[in-house]
Amino acid sequence: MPTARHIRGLLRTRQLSPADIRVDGMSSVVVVRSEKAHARIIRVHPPELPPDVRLIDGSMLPARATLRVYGDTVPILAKETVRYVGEPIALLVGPDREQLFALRDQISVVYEEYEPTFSLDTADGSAVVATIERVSGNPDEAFEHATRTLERDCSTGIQEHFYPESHSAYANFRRDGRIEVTCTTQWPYHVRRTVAETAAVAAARVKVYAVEPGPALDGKLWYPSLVAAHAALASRQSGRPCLLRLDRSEDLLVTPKRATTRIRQRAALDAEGHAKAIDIDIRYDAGAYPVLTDETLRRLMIAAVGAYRVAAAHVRVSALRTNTVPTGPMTGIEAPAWFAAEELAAGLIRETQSDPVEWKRRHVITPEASNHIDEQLSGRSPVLRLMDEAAQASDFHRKFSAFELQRKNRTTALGAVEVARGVGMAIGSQGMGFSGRTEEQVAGNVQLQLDDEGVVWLYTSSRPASAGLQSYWKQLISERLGIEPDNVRLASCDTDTVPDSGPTVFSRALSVHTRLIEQACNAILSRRAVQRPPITVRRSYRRPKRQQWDHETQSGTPYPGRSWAAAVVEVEVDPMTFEAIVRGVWIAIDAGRILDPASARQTVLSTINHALGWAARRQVPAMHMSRPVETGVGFDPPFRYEPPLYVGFADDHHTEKTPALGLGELPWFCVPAAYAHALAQATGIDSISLPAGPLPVYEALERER
Amino acid sequence: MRVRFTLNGKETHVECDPGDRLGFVLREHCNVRSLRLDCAIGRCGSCLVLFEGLIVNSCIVPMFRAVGADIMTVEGLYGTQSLVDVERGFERASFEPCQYCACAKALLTHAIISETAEPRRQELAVQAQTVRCRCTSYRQFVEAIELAAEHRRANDER
Repeated sequence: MPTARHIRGLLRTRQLSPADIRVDGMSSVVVVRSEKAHARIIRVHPPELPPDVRLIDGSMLPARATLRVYGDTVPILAKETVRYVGEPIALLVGPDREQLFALRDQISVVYEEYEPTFSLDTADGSAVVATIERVSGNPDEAFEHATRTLERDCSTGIQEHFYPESHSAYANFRRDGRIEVTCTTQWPYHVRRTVAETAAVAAARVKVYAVEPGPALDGKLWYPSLVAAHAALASRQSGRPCLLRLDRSEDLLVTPKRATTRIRQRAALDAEGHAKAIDIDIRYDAGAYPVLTDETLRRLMIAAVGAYRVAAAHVRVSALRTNTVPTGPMTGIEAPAWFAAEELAAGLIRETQSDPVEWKRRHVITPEASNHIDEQLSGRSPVLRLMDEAAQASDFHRKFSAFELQRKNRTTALGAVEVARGVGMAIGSQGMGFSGRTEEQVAGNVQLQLDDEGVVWLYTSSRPASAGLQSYWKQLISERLGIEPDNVRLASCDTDTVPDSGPTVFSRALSVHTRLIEQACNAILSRRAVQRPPITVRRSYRRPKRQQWDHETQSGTPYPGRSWAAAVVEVEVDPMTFEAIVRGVWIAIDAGRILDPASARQTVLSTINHALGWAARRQVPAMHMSRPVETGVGFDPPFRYEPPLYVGFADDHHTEKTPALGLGELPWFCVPAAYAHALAQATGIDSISLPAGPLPVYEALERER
Repeated sequence: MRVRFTLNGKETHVECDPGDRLGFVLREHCNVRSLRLDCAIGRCGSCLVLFEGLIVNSCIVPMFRAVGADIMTVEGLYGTQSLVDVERGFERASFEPCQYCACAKALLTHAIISETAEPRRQELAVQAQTVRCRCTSYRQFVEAIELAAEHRRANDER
């Protein structure tokens, strides 16, 4: 819970944004971008440049210079082929930014154009860049003997991160051969590695100062490395400090988005309508340059059947390359899979004419009955309890019956007169850290130092979005070591000072870094008894023994921990506008020990807004990124005013030793699906795709009429 | 163009182009660091100022409009009971905005509770969306404004 002192500090903080940096002799950088979605660059015709302006193109890059994210690569500057509108081709460097913009407008690029692919619908098999498959049981046999099959097809939409500050980076290539970089990033050491390769210097000669990001929603994960690489390259070539700042419209045009997905599902049913096997095919648009592909594929595969068990399943997830901007990681990356799994469950519930809650209770995974990856849940499953809590808080059973009656008794077509209401419930789970064995390959280090003045310094490159978590770290260290809170300090986040803690993503700050801090505290406690300060302790991530994962078969326990949630959403569809207004959201959460209920509640409420925005609104108007997008459109959640929002934490059975689990992404995995279920009940639409705004609702009703 | 205006109660003048935007001038020439100018198109609300008592996005106000204007930023509230009221409201609501929007939300809160002693919740729900940052929910912001208003009323009655 924030204190008055903390809030006072917040209102007086003057943290430097990279865009604020002003240095004598500093140059600006403007990026020359592709106007074509897919083409070969034949030649670039610049105008006559003033003597203090330079044009830097891909030929000036060192051979090794590329941006790498765990096996995926993105060009720093396109050399021959461009793959999306807005792809960087060259840099203009000079003292006057406005002059650079004017010069950029005079540059002509001659292209040989190729046929671009803008959507999953038009992408053919050659667009598939990676696939992951998992077969459990014998689905072929089940389909062969099925009485009938249920087929469903749904999709999810693109989404803009819409972080508060657009991308910018400052770089200074010094005369001693060292490079200083300032940028806003979730992954400082990735910036360092990319800048080092781009400037052809050793990584140790690059110092990255990471400005704390606002709520970046993973939009500051890898793209800051590209912006920093451009600034560093400009500084190396011009011999001056350089600032590259993207205006908001440019940022919206060229930076990564949440990927669109297309999901096809089949279920083999017996005579009673029970599913004996399912076949799921998920394809996502990775954009022009797939990033973090392995992790994305695996997370989608794991989430593909949701929280439900099935005797046999065949799950296939593919990443497709198209000519949209790279659509990489975004918070709640596996949300499309959770949504689709719940949609399939809704179809099965209708087939068996079951009560949705009862059906879910019967089919949800338990420690005794596992999911399609043979995951072993430890302890008792919290799901049933969470469903009960969410149902009770929202009065789900009464509302569901009443709205069902209303729908069945409706005498006029929807849209004529009546307001239609619906309520839906969905279950979701958030895995901590990277999946499978990847977490072991990702740097996870923190360092704690007790100095001889009794001050404890925490060194980590982790930059949690939640200020509450940083406060908790200080409180934790203070309490464990018996040191005044004022004597616990967080070291400046620069790569010369802090160790590599890896990217701040997938709740790693809580699930990985917090545990390492606890371990480091214990180590200092032990050593303090026998050693005088200064005492320095570094701890690195090790996979818990209980987490067994077989990479070959893609089975086992994929995460060191999982948090769970059940959400209920109630909607009302306006008969005139077809807009679905959210009347209430109730979410019950088991995320282990809750460190700070107020901060946790704030995180959950904020994520509910983002998730509903994705579920209900078209998030980027210019889908093909072929023109600047209109900013601000559709980023708000579908509320006339904020509806009742209930957040319950089922943590009364946890002890001090129970680990805290991440919950910042949990609403992504259940709220959109609950919204879709509610909309389906209100409108009678059988199959819903997201975003489900007024027009898709109208079109779906027209189709089904 | 030489523009004179009052900034946080002090007579100020700057040399700028008539079309320069107020937010940029305040930040660059007057060292007003509470303003965030990242959207620069009047959408995000992180650059709010009180302009002649009205809340406006300073990133879209041309400097020729600022001639003779009375402008207040959150810096003008430092050391005042008004800001304490706002801080207390935020604290009691466990409302912790991010560093990018905190000042804008504080100034907006001050403006609302200065205008209306007992703001209505439905109006607040609309007003709260003036600052579009995803770090908190609007509902919590509304609660924080209500509690700040409560604190202000209690102080006024003393």
